[in-house]
Amino acid sequence: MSDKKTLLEVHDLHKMFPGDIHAANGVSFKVRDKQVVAIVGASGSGKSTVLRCINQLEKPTSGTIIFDGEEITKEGVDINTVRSEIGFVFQGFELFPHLTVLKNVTVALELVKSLSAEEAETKAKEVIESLDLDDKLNAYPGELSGGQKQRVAIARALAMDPKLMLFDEPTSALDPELVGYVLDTLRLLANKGMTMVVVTHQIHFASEVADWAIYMTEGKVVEQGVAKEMFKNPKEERTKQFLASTLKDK
Amino acid sequence: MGTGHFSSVQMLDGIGIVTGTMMFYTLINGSFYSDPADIDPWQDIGFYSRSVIPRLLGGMISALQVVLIALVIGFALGLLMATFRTLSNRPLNIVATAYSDLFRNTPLLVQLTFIAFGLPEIGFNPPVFWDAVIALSLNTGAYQSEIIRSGIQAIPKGQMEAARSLGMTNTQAMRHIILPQAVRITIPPLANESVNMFLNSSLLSVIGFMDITRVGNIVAIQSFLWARTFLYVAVTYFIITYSFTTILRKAENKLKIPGLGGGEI
Repeated sequence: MSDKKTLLEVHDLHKMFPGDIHAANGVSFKVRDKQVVAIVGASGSGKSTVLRCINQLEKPTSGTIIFDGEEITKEGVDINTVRSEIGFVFQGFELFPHLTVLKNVTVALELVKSLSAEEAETKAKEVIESLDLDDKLNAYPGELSGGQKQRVAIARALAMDPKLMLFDEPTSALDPELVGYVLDTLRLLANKGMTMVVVTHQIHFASEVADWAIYMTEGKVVEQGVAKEMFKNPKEERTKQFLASTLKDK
Repeated sequence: MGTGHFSSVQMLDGIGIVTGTMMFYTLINGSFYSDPADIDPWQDIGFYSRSVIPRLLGGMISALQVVLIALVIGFALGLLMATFRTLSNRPLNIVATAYSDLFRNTPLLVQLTFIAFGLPEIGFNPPVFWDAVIALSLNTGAYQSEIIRSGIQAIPKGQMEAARSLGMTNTQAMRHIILPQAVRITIPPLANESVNMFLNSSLLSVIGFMDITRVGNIVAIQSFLWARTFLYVAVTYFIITYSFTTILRKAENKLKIPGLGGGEI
């Protein structure tokens, strides 16, 4: 694993929110090429903030983020280009409700990647079909189930050919019976060698699919390590407690 | 310049009175007052309808022209000002807020009078048609900017984030993602504003614009039939406004996108 190049490096990341909330407090980790990294932790532990700092939906207060060899936290970096290479999947899907499934996927291809309408459509159809959504091409998001919406959101991000995909609790807003449907999609991507950082509450999924796991609480990384080992034999007492309580619920 | 403007108003007035008087005298051969046995032709409903309805419709068409142009200009202005208000750029913010506050906190009648009779004093003196267009555009633009702004703010923050996360610039996200949704959810209030603007266009009669209300006034002064004339005027307004809202409601239901804008229209 260590011979693979580092795609993303987060170093000493801090994020303060108004009201003295230290959402990320010195977070550091690396993501290697084709690796799946799972970030777990209780609600409010800062995992989503870390994820959102990576593509700078939140501007880090301090710290450095190196993506694909470039320090993207520097002044003067074209963040739009960086973002077009990092797919982001939201908990609440955030599909564009006024656009069909096809248009949801083509809109950024045309505007950001400057593809022609036909090129964008070909590319979008290809990705949508690979996620088994071809019968929904002309449907509006309002006509889809939660699971289908999240797949479209994944398709929208994937069509940009990102080097890295970030998932912010992709199954938390789904009905329990639809969770598996979206997790299958994530498995598929992992098997295809997509580099991913997944913030999740699905410990079973994380221990099965992730190569590396990070446990966070109160904005700090408590423990990180090879996913299967960490979830089986956590070293830190707090990780043990968290895993015990989370797994008990399921 | 100023006097030229006033004379054009007086001219319109004059035309109405002169035609009316001419018609009046031609029709009753100047004998109405001299011979009490004669019947007032205005009392003949057939004559009244034939002579008045075309004039009222002419006034209605003039009013509609002004209102439609003003609504289009006002929409563009509203869109621009609403966008300014959602930006973090302070000067643009101030300009947009000042504009909207100024025109929403003064009466339309005062704005109309100022533009039509006040501005000629500083040399700005377009034909009365354009006075009307300018005043109505500025007024409805202020209201539309408020409506569109509330529409923009009703779009969840995640929509902007999703657009930006794909690499779109703020302008692209605004234009392709936020505004199309904001405009859609503001169709009912914008339609409402359009109806208001149309009904308020009756105030144009005050600056000498020959809209339907002014035509009605002139006809009523000539015929002394206020109730009948203004019943005609009111029915004309009603028919136009009511068909507009009905057509719009139907179109709205047809164009509705599932899951967007709800079903309360």
